[in-house]
Amino acid sequence: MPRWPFSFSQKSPATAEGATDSTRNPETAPTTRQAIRRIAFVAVVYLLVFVPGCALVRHWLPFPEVSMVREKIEHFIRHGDDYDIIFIGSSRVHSQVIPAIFDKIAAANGVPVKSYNAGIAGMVSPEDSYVLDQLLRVSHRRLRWVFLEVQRLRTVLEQEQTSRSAYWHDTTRFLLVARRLFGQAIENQAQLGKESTFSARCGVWTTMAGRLCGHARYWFMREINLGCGTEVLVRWLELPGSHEDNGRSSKEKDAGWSPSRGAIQQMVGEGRARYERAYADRLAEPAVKDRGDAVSQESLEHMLAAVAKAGAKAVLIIPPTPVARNFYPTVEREKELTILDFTDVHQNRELFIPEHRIDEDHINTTGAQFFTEDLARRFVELVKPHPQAP
Amino acid sequence: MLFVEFRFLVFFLVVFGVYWSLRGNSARKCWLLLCNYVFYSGFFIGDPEIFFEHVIQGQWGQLPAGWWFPTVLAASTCMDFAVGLGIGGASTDARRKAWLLVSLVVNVGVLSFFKYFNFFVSSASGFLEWFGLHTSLHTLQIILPYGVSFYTFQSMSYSIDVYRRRLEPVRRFLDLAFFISFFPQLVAGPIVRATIFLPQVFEKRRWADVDARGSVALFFVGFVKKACVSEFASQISDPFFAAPGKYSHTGALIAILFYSVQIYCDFSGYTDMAIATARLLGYELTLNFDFPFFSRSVSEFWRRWHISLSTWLRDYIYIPLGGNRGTKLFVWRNLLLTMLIGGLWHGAAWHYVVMGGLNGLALIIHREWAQLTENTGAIFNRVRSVLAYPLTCYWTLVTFIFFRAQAVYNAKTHALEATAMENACAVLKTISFIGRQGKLNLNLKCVAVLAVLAVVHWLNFHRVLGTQWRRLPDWACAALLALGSVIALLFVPVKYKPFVYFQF
Repeated sequence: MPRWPFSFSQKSPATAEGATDSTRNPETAPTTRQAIRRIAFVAVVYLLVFVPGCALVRHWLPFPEVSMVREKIEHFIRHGDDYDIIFIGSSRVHSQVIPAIFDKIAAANGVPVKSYNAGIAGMVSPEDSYVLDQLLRVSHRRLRWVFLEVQRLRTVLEQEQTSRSAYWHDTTRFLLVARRLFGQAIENQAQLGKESTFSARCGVWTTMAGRLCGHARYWFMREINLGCGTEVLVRWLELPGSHEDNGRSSKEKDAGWSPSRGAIQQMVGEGRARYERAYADRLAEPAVKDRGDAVSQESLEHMLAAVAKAGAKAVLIIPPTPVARNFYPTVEREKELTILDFTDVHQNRELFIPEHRIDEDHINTTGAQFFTEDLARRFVELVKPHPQAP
Repeated sequence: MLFVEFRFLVFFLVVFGVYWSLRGNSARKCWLLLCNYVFYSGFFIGDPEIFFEHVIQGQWGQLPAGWWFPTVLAASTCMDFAVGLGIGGASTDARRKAWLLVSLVVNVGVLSFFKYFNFFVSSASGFLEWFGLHTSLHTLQIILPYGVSFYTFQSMSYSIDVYRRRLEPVRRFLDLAFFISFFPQLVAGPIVRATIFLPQVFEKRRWADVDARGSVALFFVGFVKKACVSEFASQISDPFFAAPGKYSHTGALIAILFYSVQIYCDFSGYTDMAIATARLLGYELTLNFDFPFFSRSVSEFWRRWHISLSTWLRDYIYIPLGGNRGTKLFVWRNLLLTMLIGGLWHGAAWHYVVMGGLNGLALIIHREWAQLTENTGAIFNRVRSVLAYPLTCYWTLVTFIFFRAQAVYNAKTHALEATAMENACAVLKTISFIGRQGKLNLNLKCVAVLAVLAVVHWLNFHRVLGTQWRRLPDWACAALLALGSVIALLFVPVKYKPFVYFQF
């Protein structure tokens, strides 16, 4: 029962019926040049259909957002018109800014607002700018202020390939990352100097190429709509457990905030010793304002422009961490922007005492309460003369 | 590097381009041999950049575990090359037998060490403890090299066929090394016989003989089977096997059906891609699947499922054991023993042995039933043929349960909740509508998806769609393939599960 060819069974083409194309007939076998021309022609036709096809599908089916991002966006779709303020950033925003406390303090000081924490754990630049773009597409009639965590553009790839790593790799963000990677390679090459070994110099470029390929792969995955259909199908099938994919969702408290894992945990052992060293350093010498690289600045500019376009005002937050160098906007922009810097260990003692911290980068829930109160007070100072600004 | 990954496409395009641009057959084989080892090494070395950095700095302890496994493949090839020459040059039958014995001992030894050492030690320890004898046998931290079961069987087939004078011993090491390590079939088969593949190796391949369009189409179908269908089906079957007690009886039955879809599409998809890849390089591999779910008996199922393994077992175990000759009990023993070995080949665990045993039992029952009902009337035959499909399918599902069973661990405490055998029994109980059922159910929409898949498979089996596509012009075929790719990619997951048969 030979079923080749259309059945695509694994039977040999030698036993195939209907094998009539010219490649199968040695009499009309093409020359090498003809074969190459034919392959090239087929490849071109393939791409001419494939590329617009993917673009068309992407128009209808956006790349699957990861559950925690989707949740935020879906919430904003439902309630976007209710909020005056949104906070965007990593876990340093997601777990450290408590909207209920913020709103309460602001209202008590004569600035009644409703805020939403759109921070997401592990969200780095330029993922934050992508999420901001998505949120600002949603109707947001009351939105007046957008608090943005200032972050350097990150080019390091996660070990594991996940939707989370891929979803934000649109062309804009991919090009930013690619430019930063080239910039980093040139900087590293310059740092090595002329006396460095050939392998060290090669290492710089191979690392860059490896990371670039990784990001390019994510960009490609996004462009070809990888997995969009499965997402739709799984939702349609209502598979048991499919709606529980985000363990954090049930833990989310009000307005997007949720306590970080180990929220009441305190630092011990080596982690605490390391933190205390960094803390002591900052007590002795404040953190340096690092203007960073041009691409990180550009990514920040992109976010600021998006906020301005949405008719809101950007407020930049530099969360309390005892790092030696803090990324800052350029000097010119610094004057124009509103920056709430919490890195001064003398001014923000409560935020830096080890009992209020989980690690070097994060504060615990008690610390988060102090941080939010402080943030709200500074916000009130900022807007009190003109509560309806801008 | 999986066939469904983008990097494989890049790898293959390089291999393909260089291969066909080389003129001489030896140069082509040298190139492919290099590619075979690069492909195989890719499974073990992790990030090449970090790997070579450690190698340059001499930090051998930092290298990923199993980085040296390609040398096992090379050593196995060297040994079989020497054995082949030894058998060919032996003057007496005793010497030929001695050479063959060397090959069998070394190949089975390698397989036993990597795959069965821990299984035998822990089983022996458990057995002794059953008698109240406490032992202090220790298992080893052994990682299984990918594809060891496949290439060991291939190299054994070479030695045995040379011994049986079905094949002349290979005089050039390159030819044998190329045959054993040929990358499309290296890690998950099909198990290609030396008698089938080696004659192709000696002849220069011609592009004019390559069915490029058919091969690309076959690769695409294999890709869809693995990347889309199998991965999707696993989203339904995996949670079920992790907690079978939580599912209702019908939900369990649907999940098991999805598992059968998953494993069929996973393995046959892999072999579709392997065969297509080999064809694009001018080589023909062995047929491995032939619509097994349309079988009317377990015996027929094994003639259609993993054909390269079942024929290997038939030719190198069942027939040497005596095959169909001898008394009824003798034949039963041969069937059972062959299937038990087949079960054990799949993995070093008792649930695989049970799977093999169940299949052996089914083959015996079928054999006796067929003999008993040989001269029955037309009506009886009609009824029998109608019932044959569902019965075979049901039995296959039962054996698949033992194939898929897994140890279940508590997510929080990481304590063992159920062994693989207990897991299999729990699944079996649920699908047999025995005991209390859980609350989780799979709805009618899942059944609709299954029905669509079944219809597509049935249409494919009956060639309903015809052969017109072969008569289409190139541009139309390319456009169709592009459209197919756009749709298929919608159902491809961001992260793949490894091919099921990679673990063997």
